[in-house]
Amino acid sequence: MERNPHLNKHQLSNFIGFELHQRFNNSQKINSRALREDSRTLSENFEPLRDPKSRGSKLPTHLVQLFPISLDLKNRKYVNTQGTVMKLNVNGTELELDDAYENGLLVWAIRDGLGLIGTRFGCGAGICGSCTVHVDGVATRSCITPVASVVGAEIRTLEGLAADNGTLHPVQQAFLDGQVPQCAWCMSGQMMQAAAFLEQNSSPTETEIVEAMKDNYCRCGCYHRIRSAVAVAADMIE
Amino acid sequence: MTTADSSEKKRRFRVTRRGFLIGLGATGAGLALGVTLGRKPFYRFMAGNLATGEGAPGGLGADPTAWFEILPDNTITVMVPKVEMGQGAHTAIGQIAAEELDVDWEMVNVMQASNKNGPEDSFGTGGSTSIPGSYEPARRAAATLRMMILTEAASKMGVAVDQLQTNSGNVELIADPSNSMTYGEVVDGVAEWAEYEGEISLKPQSEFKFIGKSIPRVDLEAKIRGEAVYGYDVRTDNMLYGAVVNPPTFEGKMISADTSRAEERPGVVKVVVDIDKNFAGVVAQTRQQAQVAANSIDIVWDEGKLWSQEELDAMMDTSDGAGTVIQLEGDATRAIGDSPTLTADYSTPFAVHAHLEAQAAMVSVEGDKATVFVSTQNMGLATSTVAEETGLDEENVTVTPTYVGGGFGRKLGTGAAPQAAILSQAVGLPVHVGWTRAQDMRDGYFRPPTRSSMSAKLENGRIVAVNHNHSSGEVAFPFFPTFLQAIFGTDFGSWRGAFNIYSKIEHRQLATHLAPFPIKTGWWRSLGLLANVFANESFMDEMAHAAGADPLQFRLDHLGDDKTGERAKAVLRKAANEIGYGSELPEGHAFGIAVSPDVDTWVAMVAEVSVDDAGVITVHRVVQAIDPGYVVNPDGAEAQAQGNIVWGLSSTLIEEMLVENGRVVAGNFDKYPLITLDRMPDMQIHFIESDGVPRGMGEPPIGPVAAAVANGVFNATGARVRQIPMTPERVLAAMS
Repeated sequence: MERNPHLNKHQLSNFIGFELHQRFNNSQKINSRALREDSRTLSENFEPLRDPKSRGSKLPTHLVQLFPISLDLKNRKYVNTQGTVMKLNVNGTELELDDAYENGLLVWAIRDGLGLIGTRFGCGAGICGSCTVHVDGVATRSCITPVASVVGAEIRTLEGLAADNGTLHPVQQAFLDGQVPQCAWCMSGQMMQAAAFLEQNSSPTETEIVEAMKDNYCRCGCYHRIRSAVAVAADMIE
Repeated sequence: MTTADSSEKKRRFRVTRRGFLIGLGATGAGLALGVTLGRKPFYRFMAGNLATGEGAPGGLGADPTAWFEILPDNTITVMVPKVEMGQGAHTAIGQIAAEELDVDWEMVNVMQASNKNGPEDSFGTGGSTSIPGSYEPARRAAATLRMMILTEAASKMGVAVDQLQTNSGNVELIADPSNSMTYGEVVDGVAEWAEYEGEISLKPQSEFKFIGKSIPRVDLEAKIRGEAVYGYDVRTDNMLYGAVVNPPTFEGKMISADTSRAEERPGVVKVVVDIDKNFAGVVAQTRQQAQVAANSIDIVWDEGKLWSQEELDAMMDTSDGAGTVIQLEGDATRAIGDSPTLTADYSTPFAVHAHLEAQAAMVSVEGDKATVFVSTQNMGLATSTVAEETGLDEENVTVTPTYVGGGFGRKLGTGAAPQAAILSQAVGLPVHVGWTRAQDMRDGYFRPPTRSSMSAKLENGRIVAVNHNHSSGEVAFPFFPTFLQAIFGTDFGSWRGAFNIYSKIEHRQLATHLAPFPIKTGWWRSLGLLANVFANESFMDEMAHAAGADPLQFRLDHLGDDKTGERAKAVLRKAANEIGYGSELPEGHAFGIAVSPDVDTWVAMVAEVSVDDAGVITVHRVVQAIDPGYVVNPDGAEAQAQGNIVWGLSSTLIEEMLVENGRVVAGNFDKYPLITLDRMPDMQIHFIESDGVPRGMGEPPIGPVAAAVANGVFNATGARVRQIPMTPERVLAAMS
């Protein structure tokens, strides 16, 4: 299956489901019954956004048309139109994904399907950032990213951040040296966010660091150490 | 090097505990882990404590065979019964436990104890008790073990014990240190250990090798590599995923459930409904399949009363005067009479814990046994709830706590473990249940709201009397049986931090009311501390301004001259000096100050704040001075203070849980945002070690945060905000 060309890096990096949905809805009218069915099924897969009081109002309908998969209405399931095994390129390796994960979200495919638990589930709504991974080098919230949208893309998780010989990535080393994490549930996302940011800007100002990291929650309150460690990592990369 | 019995300065203990023997494996693999059966749940432990007058909760057993494992290759494992939820307990308790063993840090592994091995801990991990609770038992266990090893070595080497010394994990002849055995060689092949009956001595602090040092966290590299396993991460062969349907409202009661649609969903293995238990859940091949199917169970609910925020607020009313007086010095009621110099009412809202790892557990029920891996602060309660739901004996339920992705009191309760147990029992395979964010937000228990009505009488620039009428929802009571509530009388969790600390005030009264909320409230980091200090220390500032006095000097003038008062004054002076209290600040900036004790740790905070035209508060700098008596791991203690300040600021500025139509409004962070990196002040933490006795650090630093910010806002703008969170709307309202 080809990776869908419509989802570019910019879209992925700003991938808040309902925002994109708004943009899509403003530009196109969706009338076909099949698409509505698609939307409903998909919305159920996006369960954390499913609020009984607002059922159906926040559907990421845009996704339906962008996916290179089609809906088997009878079995209420997306099917791979080319009949091949879905593979994800994760940390440089092509991994076969159990078809039960094909029409789900990337975070569960990575964690439960492939067993890479370093990517954490936090909010399921793209807000807290715990699930951040890299998709073609761009920091991406995997809890709102459909698996089908990243087939063919290079996905990198925390497990792929260190070198093959185990040497820690500068961001990891700086987080370890600075004794940054407390519970560390958010830290995978923090480090992935920081690593992607430093790829783009390896000599950031403190303001730029704050701007790049401010959308990742840390409930334990390690923010000071995060800010310092990203600066240290930038020095190590330079 | 430590001889069997050397320094005169050492403290001496006689090992009196009987019956710690001696769980050795038949393989003779060295000193193996003690096996302790039948752990008591928390409340039974508390009840036993009250009945026998034994030590404070949080204390741990001192049985060395439960604390340590030494293998023939000389690897030494410390079994830590407290869970690691980011507070650094594994590292700090490992430091404490290894100190008296005379080993090198590199030889020491730290492992999470389960409910079947390791030292007994029925209290759970919370209440800032882990370090003070293990400081002495762990050292005594290690010192006892060292003596047992020396005794065994003497027997193996054919010499008297007093001819031997220990040195970095070896036992050697004092006269000829080259004649030595490793601890591993000493314990190898020993099939039975006698209880050590002799005296042990503990090192003076001046000789500590590990305690008092900023030893790096033992859990961090695994966490940074993404290898650490939390409750949400537990995986095993043949596992399935479960999802549950929680009631849509606080009082929601299931009337009927049609499972036919759910059963047809892809991947579904089993749909489990128990109307009497209000339980509906699905087991499926994947988590999303289970969640989608669970949402497809057509349930008819009796939603019960659809409580509104206004109705809950009305329950906080204290005007009937029916509180319980828990602090009474002099006669504040008479001293204030009908003419208080000053009155003020303060309030705080419901709040959620919002740990980023939602409740999660994997349970495998096989026949009459259950194996549980769960993200919990309380393996005792996990054990008893799983046993209750499955009908199994507690002895047959093995609970291993995982790393915890944030606890903050919420994971002292049970969440996913009993649910996963029900589902696993239904399908006969291991089932993992991980809650969604919405479930975690709405279906737990919450920090209760508080109200504090204060009145005071001032004469000649000094406080004569303060009366505090306090109201809160339950915090501790939901976790105790009713008979203990009767013994306690009032809910100690709700009034934590509410006592007036200024002993030079002649008349002081605190009366507490318990609001009968229809929704669950309970443990939340620091219990009532943040809210109650917000009221006390805001009002102290208001009284200082009414007296025309400087808030810092006014506090110093009213604190006692005993040891407690001097500790309070010392942290106030330290924080004030370090931030340059009284120095000139940029236009519109001002200092706010507050001080509070908690678990006998004293914390003073000075914040530099400003408020913009839109009413948005900026906290520029925070300095805290903290006296926890003694610091076991300075870097870890600093991290706890930093985290507490961030927590406190988030509550002070942002967090408010609202109720509508019988349910929590917010199901995710879109409606319950947390504080972020861009609102962080600069922070400095200073420790004063006043007496060499470590006390808690997990919660005390949150105490003064809201009050210090509120006091700074007043000094910057003249506006007194008496309600948190101090949203721009509330700040603007106070300014106008």
